Amino acid sequence: MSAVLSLQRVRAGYGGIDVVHGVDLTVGAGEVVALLGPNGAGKTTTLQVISGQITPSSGTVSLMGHVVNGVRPDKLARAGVCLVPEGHGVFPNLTVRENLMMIADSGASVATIEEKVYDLFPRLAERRKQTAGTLSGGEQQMLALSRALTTDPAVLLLDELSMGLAPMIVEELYLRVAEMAARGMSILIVEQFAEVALGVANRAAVMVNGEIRAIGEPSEVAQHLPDAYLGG
Amino acid sequence: MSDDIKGQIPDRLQQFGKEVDGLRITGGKASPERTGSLAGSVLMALGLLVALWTALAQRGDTTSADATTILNTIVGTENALVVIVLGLSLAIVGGMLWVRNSLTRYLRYWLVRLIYEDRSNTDRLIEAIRDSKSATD
Repeated sequence: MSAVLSLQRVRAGYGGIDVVHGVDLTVGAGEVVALLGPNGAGKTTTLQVISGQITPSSGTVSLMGHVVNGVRPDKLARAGVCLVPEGHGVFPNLTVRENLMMIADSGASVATIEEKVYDLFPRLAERRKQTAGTLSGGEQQMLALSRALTTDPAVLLLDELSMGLAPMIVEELYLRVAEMAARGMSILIVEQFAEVALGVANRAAVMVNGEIRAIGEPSEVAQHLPDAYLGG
Repeated sequence: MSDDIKGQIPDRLQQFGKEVDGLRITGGKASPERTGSLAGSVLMALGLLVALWTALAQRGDTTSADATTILNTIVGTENALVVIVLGLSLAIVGGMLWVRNSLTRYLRYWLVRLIYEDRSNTDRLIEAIRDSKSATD
């Protein structure tokens, strides 16, 4: 079976300056791939290319074998590509319930969505009337992740899920991610917190200065990490 | 992996494949607004040039002796007015294209800036509320 998500020689950037230089990457069905690397390596830009927010200047992004360069992000999202952005992608002025209502037009009723979310993260049930901006960082990330998961995406893109969170919360979030992968969801994780990401990933890649420097089994890739982070 | 889960994978992926297949693929180029605004400028300049050249050739004011002959060969002098109108229309369409794409680029940056400002304002407000709460506690 062909890869669910495939990037071939993708170059992309901002204002005519490329920050991603010819990236090749695939994610299969039910596979978790971790994209690791230091700040400014081009990891987030790669996710933005996949989710349609940035059009590659060259190369191809394919989903299920179909090239999707230039498809609008909303269309990709409706098809089943879901991005959980860096820094708690929630509406801070809306309550937890209102945040969940924002995805109700995807077909499911608010009650069904709430049931699924509170089942995944019972803590959010206690906070349902609280504005999202007043939740703790971990709860905001739970809300962002649960909102993504309830849309039943085929491809889930996670950008720095662990940023600023306590290790226990990170473990809980990644436990849910592993459950989703076991159900056949293809997941691409972008992380600086390499240890946790490598723990759930089937494969990992190290990105430095817009290029993939190493790709393979998490244990193999782990050996390249010190060089990547220390500029070797 | 349970049978129940095994059964879900092909269904969801099949559905995903169908939905991706149904997407309108534009082939996409980087910075479509930049390309659009460049195309608008070119159309505007070309339209004005065509209109001006035709008007001059029709009046016989052009320095090139061949201009009137070329115009006669292509459209005939009696059709010069049509060419002038077409040229001006081209310039107007080009102008609209340029304005539309330039505005889109500007408004996109403006919108993103507003969102970030709003978010940082909310964060500041929440911090202030937390500070005042901890002070009263």
